Formats: sequence, C-alpha cells, structure tokens
Amino acid sequence: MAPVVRSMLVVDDDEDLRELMKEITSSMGVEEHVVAGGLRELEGQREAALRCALAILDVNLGPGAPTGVDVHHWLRREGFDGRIVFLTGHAEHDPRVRAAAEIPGTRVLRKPIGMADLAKVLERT
Amino acid sequence: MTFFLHAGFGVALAALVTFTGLSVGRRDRKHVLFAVMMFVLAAYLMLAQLQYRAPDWETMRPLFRTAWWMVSTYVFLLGWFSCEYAGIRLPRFVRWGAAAITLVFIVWNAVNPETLYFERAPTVAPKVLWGNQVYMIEGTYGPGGYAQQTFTTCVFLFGIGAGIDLVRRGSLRRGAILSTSNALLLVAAAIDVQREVAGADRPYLSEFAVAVMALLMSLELAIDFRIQERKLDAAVTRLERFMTVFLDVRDRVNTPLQTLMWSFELLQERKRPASEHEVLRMQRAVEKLVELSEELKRETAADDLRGGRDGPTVR
Repeated sequence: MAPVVRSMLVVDDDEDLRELMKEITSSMGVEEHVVAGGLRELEGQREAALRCALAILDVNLGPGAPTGVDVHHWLRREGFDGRIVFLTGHAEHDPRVRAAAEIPGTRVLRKPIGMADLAKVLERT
Repeated sequence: MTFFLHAGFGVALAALVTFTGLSVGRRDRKHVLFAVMMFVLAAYLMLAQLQYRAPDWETMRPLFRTAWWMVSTYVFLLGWFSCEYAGIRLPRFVRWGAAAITLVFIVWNAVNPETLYFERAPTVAPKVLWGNQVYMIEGTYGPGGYAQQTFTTCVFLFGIGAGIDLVRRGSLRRGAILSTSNALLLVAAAIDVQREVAGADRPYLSEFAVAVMALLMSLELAIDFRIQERKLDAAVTRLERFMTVFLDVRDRVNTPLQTLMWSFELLQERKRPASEHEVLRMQRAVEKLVELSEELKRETAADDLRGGRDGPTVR
C-alpha cells in the first residue's frame, strides 16, 4: 500500500459516517483526525484543522447550514494548503455539487465509494 | 336556403382549420379523422350549392358523382371516428367489411353514378325552396340507393350505440353528444328517404344535420381538448413534484448506504463479528433507508401518479 497522509480533516453532518471514516482511515494509517459536523464546529478546531494534509468534505451539511463549498472557502481563506476532496451523495446537477466541481484543484466523489477508493484518496502525493 | 349551406360550409371550414392545427404533431387519431371529415363535408356542401344551380342532369351529373364520393367517404369516416372517439375496437372483419362496402360504392359511383342511387337516370326540375330558386333531382330509388341508405343507417346506429356505451362507462357529456349527433343524422336521413319516396318539395335535411353535427362535435372536441390539457398540466405538476422528492430521496439514500457499505467492508477485512456499537450503527443506517423509502411511498400515495384518467375512453 502506498504511503498515506498523516493527518486528515473530515466534515460531514452524519455522525455515524464521520466516526466510521475515522475508524477506517485510522486502520489505513492516518494518525491524526479532525472531525466536524459543520463549519461552526470546525471554527472551534481551527488550528488543528489547518494543520491537516487532506480534507474530505461533504457538500450538503444539512438544511440551512453552510455547505461544504463554504467550508472549502473558509479553509482556503484561513490558509489551509492541503488537498480538498468533496464526498457527496448528491448528483452532478445539484447546484452545490456543481459549485464544488467548478473549484480548481478539487475532486468530487459520489457516495457510496468503496474502501479501496477511499484508500487512493488518502495516498500522499 | 343558400344562407344555411354557406353557414354549414363555414362551420366545416373552421372545424377543418382548427382540427388540422390540433392534429399537427399529435397522435390523437380522432382529431385527424375529424379534420378529414370536415374537409369532405366542406367539399360536399360546396358541391351541394353548385348542384342546386345545375339546370339539367348533364350539368348536374359530374357534381352529383363527386358529391356522392364525398358522402360515401364521409359515412365511412364517421363510423371510424365514432370508434376512435368512444375508444371501441371493432373486429377486423367489421372494419374491413365497412371499408370494402365503401369501396364498392365509390367504384359504382365512378362507373355509373345514376344507378348508385336511382333506378334510372333522374330528371332535374326547377323548384322554389325557402324563397330560393333551385334545381332538384327527381328520381326513384334503386337497389343501390337502398343499399347505401342501409349502410349509412348502420353507421349512424353504431354511432348512437357507441355514445350510449360511453355514457355507461361514465363519460356522460361525450357520450350524449356522440349519440345526439348520430341520432340527428339518422332522423334527417330518414326524412330525406321519405322525401325521395313521396317526392315532397323540401331541401335535403341531411345537409343541414351534418353541419349541425359538425358544430356540435367541434364544440365537444374543443371542450375535450381543454379538459385533456388541464389534466396534462395537473399530471406534469404532480410528476415534477414527485421528481423533486424522488431526486432528493435518491441523493439522501447515499449517506446511509455509504455507512453500510464501509461497515460491511470493515467487518470483512477484520474477520470478526460486529461489536454492539457497530451493529447499532448499521441499524441506524438501515432505519434511515426505511425512513426514506416510507417518505417516497407517502409521496406516491398522496399524488396518486397513476390516477387522474377519465376512464378507458381517454387517449
């Protein structure tokens, strides 16, 4: 298996999925995790979040809440220089997903993905 | 009298234009048939006016022949239209039989128009009807005339029956108009037969009855079209709403599905039974999927997407 990132940020409004992703990526070799259910929760962990090498963001973070795209903009504004990958259950024609796909240098993955695909995302570049 | 013929011609022409327009790009055969019927009727009424002005049989003969082609075609189309309008599918031998009879009349008319209707070549006599100086045929019915009247009567009776069948199936207005129109034609034809037999001095009523029928059916088809349009609008709105919900649910299904997928992959990789915590997590994912499925079921039931059709007669 190729070397994986040492630290990662997970932002998803589904608690079970956040927890599961943390478990799986830990088993794959990721040592540090920052997990949040949304932007507000993330702001409380600003320093740790900005140190991560990879961010996996859900696009839809609940009705009325800032989206994954907002989280992306916040991270970049705050100086996050790691890779950002969007993981969404929504289709390409969803305006939020379209907005995410239009951001240069990001990838958008459609749920559900297998653990092998997740492992590829974690690979250090 | 000329005024009524002109009015009938106008009605047929207006209906022809309207239903030709409505038929473009649509698969509704009844509108196409009705447009063709109106074309034939307009042509017939124009010829009828010319016939009333023809002073002798030699002048009238080509007009009479062409007019009877129109009549034969119209009667056949009317039978077909009644089938389409009432959503009735006749056995093949009946359909082909009617077509064959019509073809015989058309060929007969081409060969010898006199004997299709009369026993021998009729005479033409000047008459004054409703204040108009006209020329009318005087002749005795022949076997061809009786055969054609019998066939025409059968078509009218079928139209009345098709309307009654529609009423029985719950389409009161549509059925009543189809039956009334055909009954009107039947009564007018019966009076015209009596006129021929008794030699009474009055115009052919069928010409006016068919114009009234055209007017009635035009109105009915227009109402029918509007109702169909409204139903279509409502169905599109329902479908759009359902589509929105469906797409939303389709996307929301992916998160619990992702949880289940990774949970199973993780269990397979670890080769040990799931902990209570893991089982509960999977259970929650399944509950979310069930919840979304219920949401979809509720939406489908509330919208009744398969409903909204007006019985089997609506195409």
